Amino acid sequence: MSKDKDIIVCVPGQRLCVSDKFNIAGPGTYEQQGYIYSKLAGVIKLIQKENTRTIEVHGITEQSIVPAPGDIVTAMVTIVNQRFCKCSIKCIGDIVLTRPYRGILRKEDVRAIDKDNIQMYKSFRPGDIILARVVSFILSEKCYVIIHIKV
Amino acid sequence: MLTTKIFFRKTKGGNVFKTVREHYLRNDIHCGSKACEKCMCKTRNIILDDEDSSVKSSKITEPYYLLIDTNIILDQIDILEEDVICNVIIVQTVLEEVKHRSSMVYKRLKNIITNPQRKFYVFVNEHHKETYIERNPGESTNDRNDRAIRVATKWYNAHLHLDDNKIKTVLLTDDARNRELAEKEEIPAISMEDYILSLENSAFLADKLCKKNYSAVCEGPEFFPCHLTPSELHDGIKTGKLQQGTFQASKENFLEGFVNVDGVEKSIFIQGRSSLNRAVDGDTVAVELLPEDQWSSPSDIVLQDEEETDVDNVLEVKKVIDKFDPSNKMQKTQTGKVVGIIRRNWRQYCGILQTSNIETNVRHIFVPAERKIPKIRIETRQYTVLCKQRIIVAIDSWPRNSRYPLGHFVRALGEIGNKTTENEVILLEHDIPHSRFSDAVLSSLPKMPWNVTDVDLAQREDLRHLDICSVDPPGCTDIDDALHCRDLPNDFHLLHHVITDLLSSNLCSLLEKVERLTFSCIWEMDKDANIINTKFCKSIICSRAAMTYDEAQLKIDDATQQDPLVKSLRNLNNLAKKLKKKRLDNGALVLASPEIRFQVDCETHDPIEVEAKKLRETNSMVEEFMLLANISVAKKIVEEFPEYAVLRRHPEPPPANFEPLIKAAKNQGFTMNVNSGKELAASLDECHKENNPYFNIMLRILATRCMMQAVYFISGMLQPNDYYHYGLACPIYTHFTSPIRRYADVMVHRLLAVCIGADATYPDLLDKKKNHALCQNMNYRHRMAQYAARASVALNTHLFFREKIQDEEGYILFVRKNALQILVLKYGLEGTLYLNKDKNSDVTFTYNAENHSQTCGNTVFRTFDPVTVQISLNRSNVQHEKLIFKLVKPFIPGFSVPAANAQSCRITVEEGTKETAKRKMETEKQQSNNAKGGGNKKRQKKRKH
Amino acid sequence: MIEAENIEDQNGLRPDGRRALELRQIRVKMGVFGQADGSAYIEQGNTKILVTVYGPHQPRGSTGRSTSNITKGIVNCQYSMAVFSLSSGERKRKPRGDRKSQERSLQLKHAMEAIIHLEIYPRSQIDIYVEALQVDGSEYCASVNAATLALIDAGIPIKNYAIGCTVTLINNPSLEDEDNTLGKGVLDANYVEECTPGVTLSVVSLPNNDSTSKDGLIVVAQGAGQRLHLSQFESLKARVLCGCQDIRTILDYAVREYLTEQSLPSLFHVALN
Repeated sequence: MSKDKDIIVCVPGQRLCVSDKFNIAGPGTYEQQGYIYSKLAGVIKLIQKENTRTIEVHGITEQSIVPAPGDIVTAMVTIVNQRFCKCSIKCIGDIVLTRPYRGILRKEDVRAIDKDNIQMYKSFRPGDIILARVVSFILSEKCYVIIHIKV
Repeated sequence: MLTTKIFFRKTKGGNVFKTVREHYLRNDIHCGSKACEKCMCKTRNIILDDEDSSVKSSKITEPYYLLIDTNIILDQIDILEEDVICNVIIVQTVLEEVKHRSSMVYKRLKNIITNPQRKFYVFVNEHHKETYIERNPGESTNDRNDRAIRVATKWYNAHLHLDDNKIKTVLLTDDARNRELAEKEEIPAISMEDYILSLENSAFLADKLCKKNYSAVCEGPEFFPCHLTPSELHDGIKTGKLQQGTFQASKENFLEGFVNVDGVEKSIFIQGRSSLNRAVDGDTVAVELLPEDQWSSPSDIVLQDEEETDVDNVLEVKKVIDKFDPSNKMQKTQTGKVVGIIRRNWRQYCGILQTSNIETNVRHIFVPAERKIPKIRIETRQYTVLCKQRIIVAIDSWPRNSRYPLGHFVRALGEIGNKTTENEVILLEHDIPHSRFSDAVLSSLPKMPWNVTDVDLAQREDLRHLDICSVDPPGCTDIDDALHCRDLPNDFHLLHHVITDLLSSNLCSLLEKVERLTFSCIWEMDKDANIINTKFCKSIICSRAAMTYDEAQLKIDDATQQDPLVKSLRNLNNLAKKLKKKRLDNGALVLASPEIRFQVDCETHDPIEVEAKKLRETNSMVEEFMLLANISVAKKIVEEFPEYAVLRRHPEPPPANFEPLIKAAKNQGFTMNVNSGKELAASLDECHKENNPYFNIMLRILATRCMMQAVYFISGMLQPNDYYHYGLACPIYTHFTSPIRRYADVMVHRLLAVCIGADATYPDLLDKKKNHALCQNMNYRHRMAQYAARASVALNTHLFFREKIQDEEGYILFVRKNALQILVLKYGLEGTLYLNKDKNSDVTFTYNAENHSQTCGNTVFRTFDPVTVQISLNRSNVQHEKLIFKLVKPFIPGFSVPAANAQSCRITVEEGTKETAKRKMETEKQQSNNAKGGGNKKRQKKRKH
Repeated sequence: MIEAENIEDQNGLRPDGRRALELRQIRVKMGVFGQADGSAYIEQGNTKILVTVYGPHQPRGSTGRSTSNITKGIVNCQYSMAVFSLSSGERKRKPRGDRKSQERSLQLKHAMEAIIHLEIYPRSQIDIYVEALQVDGSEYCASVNAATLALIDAGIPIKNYAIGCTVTLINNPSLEDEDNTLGKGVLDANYVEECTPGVTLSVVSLPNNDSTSKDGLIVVAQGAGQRLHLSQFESLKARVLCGCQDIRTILDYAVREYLTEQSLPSLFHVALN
């Protein structure tokens, strides 16, 4: 393996180095019993900072991201009715998803003020692209709830 | 390390299934030669010598290895077993073919291979990169295999020559085509006959050469019709025109036999030489049924091929058969003729050479001891030596133009009439393995002196503090069970049944005051012998006393003795009585069979007295607890292993079986109720006759003969309600108590040990099919051992009567058409008194089939009538010495013989004993030690349930 | 059916010519299926398995609704055998849904749950579809191996390879004397060997990636055939872990190979060995 170019291929479960103050486990790695292991098959990237080095592994296919509360997502409105509109999430942050997630934008989440006077039909039409923030997951429903942020 | 060249092997099963299996070819298979430096192999795999240790042959000048073709192994295994043949390569192709063709030969070959002295090396050519070949299109499997063998030979020659070795690998084959092809490819090849004859001192080997190709020499009229070709047979069987079955020659009549077709109850009768068409007892044959108007029935006469002149007697016999035929029009049975042999079941046969006038002749007739087997024509140059000996011969072939099958000499057993020889004949004829245990087996025995180790102590329950004792027949060497009983505080009893666990005669026996490892069965019982709790465990015991039945009986009866051991015995005895009563109430049968026991002269081992056995209370005490142990264990293992438990069942006999018994009893004015075991037992108990104290016993003997054979089986093979043991009237039974002498018990021990978590299983233990096969084998061995035991009793009886003529009281057991079957109770001896034998005599007996009686003048013979007979030994036929029964009382003029003078008789007896004393004789006991399958016959019979 | 007698002594070789510790030839292809997020095809001898992985995605169907645990992702496994998969030539009636398949699915799920970092996929589902195309023994273990590869191909973070290997205890002493330090039994049994009496132990383990140590974490062990005495388990385990280690080495090599040829060819000037 070549060290000069810092291109190191690793496979899942491969022990990369000791985890200590200097080496920090970054994305694509995990820590177990004082060591850093890779959890992806991909290339190791070292991010050097002053006193630390973050070890990241980048897989060959960058995906497998799930919307988490707080994430800013780009979504397309699909169905609109009185109380909410359904939409499909296309991007999380700047990562384009390979497969959309479904989300619900509830009437009371559209904006922070004057919640009672929101008319969904007037605000959204199917096909609208919206930017939103994920608020929470609702139990027993299949959707992520998103809060709408006006651009 | 692995050449992974994958290819596909397609085998077509019965239908059109295609099987694809992987077959890895390797480059790390070594040639097994010491001379080879290329093959990296472990030392244990170097088998073939580098020096010229093979026997010198005039045809092969260089040092050589033999590479053997399949046909050589199949036909010439007797020669291969000779030590002179060594440095032999067996390629896997051959090994597999042999295995496929004959499991018997395969086993023998395996034995040779495992013997390191013989230097037989198995070369796995099918997985070797360079010797594997694929079948060419259009090539038959056989041709492909032949080619594979040639390729392997070629490879060996090339391989060994690379190292500048002079060693040549010679292909040994009797297949002329293969030899021809080999020579074309410049592979050295030789036929077996050429090879053997080229050896030094080949005479004794030449006798053993198989005579497969002999037919060409022997020309003459064809005695037999042609056999059908295999494909014709196959088609015939498929269309139902032919039937496939096992041929069984008649014991009495060498020109008759039966074919038992699988799944068909009624067997097909075969009569006459050309109908038998060269079928030998045990062969699997194809039969064609004759049209109904040609059906015949078994003649009631006994016909032996004893007239030595060949040609005429066939006709004579035919006539005899014809003469008997018309009288039997009534009961014609389906008759057929053998049209082909599907599989031969030839083995090796014991026998003697028929006396020949021309001693220098090499061709001789061999007469097998087994009457079912035809005479065999063999070739030997050692007639003068062999004519006085018992020899073993194997059949090679039976061409159409030979009256007798052709065979070859295998080995000599010893002098005719010599007891060792005769004993060996018995063992061989009953297929009882009696060779020494191999070193591998012996080496796994514990080292002597043996002691209980700490490991044993940790794993077993220590029961050494208990007053355990064993009760067995006098002189018993394999004490495999011991008993103990004690009162528990809350009025319960704790009982022990203990069985050893190690092998070998000494170690296994629960000798007095010696610590032994055992398997214990512990019951808690109440006063009425109801089991409250059962437990099994591995344990250590120390037997306090090894008693005989008599000793134990005396102790129990002697009220003055009060030590714990005696108390324990008394308790046991009481419980046993209760158990027995329960058992009998359930409908268990008490059956009888005449049993003989020899009083053996302790120095000469010649039998000096013959007596039937007696039973004591203690016998039944031991027996009861054994039964109980067996039943408890059976329940336990079935519970744990519903599919794999080894059990023993005794099927209920079909009602038709009881007919002779019912008839015989009816003649004497008793009715037998045979609807169930219980009713039968009750009826048997009621039958008593004032004037005939043995009447009941004889009825029981008859009843015993109506029974089916008890058999071992695997529980998964039958429905639970078929587990029933008829004789014991218990729903489930097994054999557990005699692991020393019965293999079934060992299997049960292993299962039980797994049940209680004491031992590990191993794959075969829980293989239903394998266990089933084992059970079949045990049943077969058990049966053969019984036959051997009978033969052994007969042999010893013959020895006993050798110089004697004695008058004895007896009873008629059966009335037959031309004979009376007579039981002499004193000796437990059964014999046949032939009637109407002398055709010139004016004394005639009339047979009444209705009530089974023979009448002559005023005298009527019925079943159970007492008679006095004179017993003497007819030694005219050296192979089959016979006891001759002659009638003394009731006196029929012209038929009966005068009573022998008892006085003079006794003198001859004593003299005779002294004379024969010098000739060594195996006692029955010794012999039974030899006969592993037979075990200790004396005891086996007694506890035969 | 195949007769049990097929196993016999041929100088320590198994019926197909392997020695006790030898595996069958393993061939691996990753990313065989463009539509799925990840896929892998594995051949272990004549056992051929195709695995596709979809996800993580939003849960659908009953699995999503019934599971109240939202902090972790859900693994959904479906094991199915193709109707033509049996090497004996018969047709299988139902490709999936029978007891055996359901059991396999469940066990596969257990194995996969053990390696996937499910906590980073709350409220989502990963589907693993296993299709046994041809079955010649050890198919469960082969499908575990294939599923691991498919997960890697899908870029789903996993802790370690989950490696399946079978060990079969057979009654043939001549095969055993080869190397007893590694326990007993033959590895990676094919169909013929699986049919013989004796226990076949399918073990899924997470072998350590430094090949020196022979131990590993056993995740799923499943026995088939007869009962096995505990005293024999240790020696079987020792041997099967050694087999897992070997398989891991092979898979590892395959994954690296795949990485080099697949991804970022511009970045990789260096040939990897």
